[in-house]
Amino acid sequence: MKRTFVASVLTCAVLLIGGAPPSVSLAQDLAAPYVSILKGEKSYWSGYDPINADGTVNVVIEIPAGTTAKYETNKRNGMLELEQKNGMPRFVQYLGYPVNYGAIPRSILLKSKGGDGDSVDVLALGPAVPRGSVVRGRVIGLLDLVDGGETDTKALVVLEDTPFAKVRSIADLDAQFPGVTSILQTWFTSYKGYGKDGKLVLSSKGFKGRTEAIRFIGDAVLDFEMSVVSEADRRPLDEKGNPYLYRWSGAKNIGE
Amino acid sequence: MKFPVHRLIAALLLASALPAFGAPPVGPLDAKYGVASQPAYIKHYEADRNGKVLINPYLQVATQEFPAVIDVKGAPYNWVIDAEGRVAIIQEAAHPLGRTYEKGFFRPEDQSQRKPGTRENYGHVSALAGAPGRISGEILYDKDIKAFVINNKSGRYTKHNSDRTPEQLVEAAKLIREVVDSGATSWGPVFYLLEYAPQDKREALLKDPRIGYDDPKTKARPYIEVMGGGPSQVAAEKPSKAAPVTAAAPKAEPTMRVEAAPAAKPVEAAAKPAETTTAKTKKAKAAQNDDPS
Repeated sequence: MKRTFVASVLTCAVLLIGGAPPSVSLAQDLAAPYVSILKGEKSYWSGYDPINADGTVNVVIEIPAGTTAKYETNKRNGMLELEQKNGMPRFVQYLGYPVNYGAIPRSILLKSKGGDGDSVDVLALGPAVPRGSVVRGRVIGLLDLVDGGETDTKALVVLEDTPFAKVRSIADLDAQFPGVTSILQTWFTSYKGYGKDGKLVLSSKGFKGRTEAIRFIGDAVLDFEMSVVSEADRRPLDEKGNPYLYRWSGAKNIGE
Repeated sequence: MKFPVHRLIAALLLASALPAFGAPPVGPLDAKYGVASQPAYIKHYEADRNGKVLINPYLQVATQEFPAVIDVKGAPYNWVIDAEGRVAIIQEAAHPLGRTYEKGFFRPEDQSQRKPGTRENYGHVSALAGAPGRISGEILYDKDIKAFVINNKSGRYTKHNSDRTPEQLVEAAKLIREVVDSGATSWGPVFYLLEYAPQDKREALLKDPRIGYDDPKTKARPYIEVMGGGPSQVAAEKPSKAAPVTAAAPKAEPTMRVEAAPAAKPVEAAAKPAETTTAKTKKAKAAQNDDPS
């Protein structure tokens, strides 16, 4: 599989607090390695471009398909970290993820707009990809989930150079790979089980198309860029408040 | 030191032949969509501190294998034919490094005075990260005729080039209709704006019998309608067959955690067949604003 950037993930530390859960078997060891922090060449939160010039998006793989260890990007240090819950590393108590799970770097779903303050979650269709890889894919739609009453949308991306690469829409996915949308929807609405009210914690409104997906991701990327830019990042204006002519080596620089 | 005359002649002959060797090859894409050329300029906010031209976050690169999708809500769009002959499409958005000028401002690149309230948006160069591009323009939604109108309005990739012709715009529009899914909205007419034509061809084009003006009284902003409207040639996207999963409680076994999602009856495509605009009741607008992005 073609990887744009690395996969040169450095295993930084083996820090499982309190050791592995007692129920972890050898098979699960393989699926959920004993590392809790992964450091990439750059920050997984902000070090990679979200969109490439060929229109593909970059996806940081946090949870490879088939595994249960719940890693996520730490926004403060840009590393991947195994989530901790009640002082224990968090493993999904269900079947392994049916799809590579990750995030789009330099994107944010603002809380002020109903998001969770994290980057755009991605379901990356293709063979299992090692954790910490940054891979290219094309957006085909959205899976609309509701988690405990809050919107929890996932973007669907087909990875380049995989059997899914030629899928161009959700309907196309249904036609070429029957059952995949149902598998995804069933898994993601079921893996947290039932709540105290006896209902599934997660529910789904179904899938949305590519137009909505591109807008959803574009908005989140733009919100990220807007949130990190300050006036100091902008080029100064002249004394009358007009911009100066900017010279760029790759342009004809008309106006000089 | 004495320099033999025959060597001097040979050197002169070689020097005169060099430009021919160094001239860019004219390939089929060059003839069809114009030679890929550097952008005329990059505006002060479009590149970051490292000189990297930021990519528009809504970028789509349309090909036969992977068409782009557009809708009325996202309009207006900018399009550029890239060096490989693909269609890069972006939707209009405020640039994070740009500003809004409440009192307007003077733009040095084209020596123009911009109106109060002008916002600095992602321009055409953000579709190619500043790379060379071919003919370029806008896709506007014209609510009067309920169709997407295509034009050649780009101050970076169309203007300031000697080879951007009406024929190339027609070829580009044909390609756009082949690789861009416009959903239920049809394609309207295609307008070649003469303000973006090569200087040496403008006089001749003004004599074209199809000439029209945004303001006929003053003959301001001339254009030629080079192609009529037509339906989208890309099959509109259909919704998924997977049915929504509600947070329903299990019926019988409270301990059973998973219920397979029912094999739902496929939901029929909501997209209506595209309407054509052959019978024009209202005149389409050739361009939306006067900002040559």
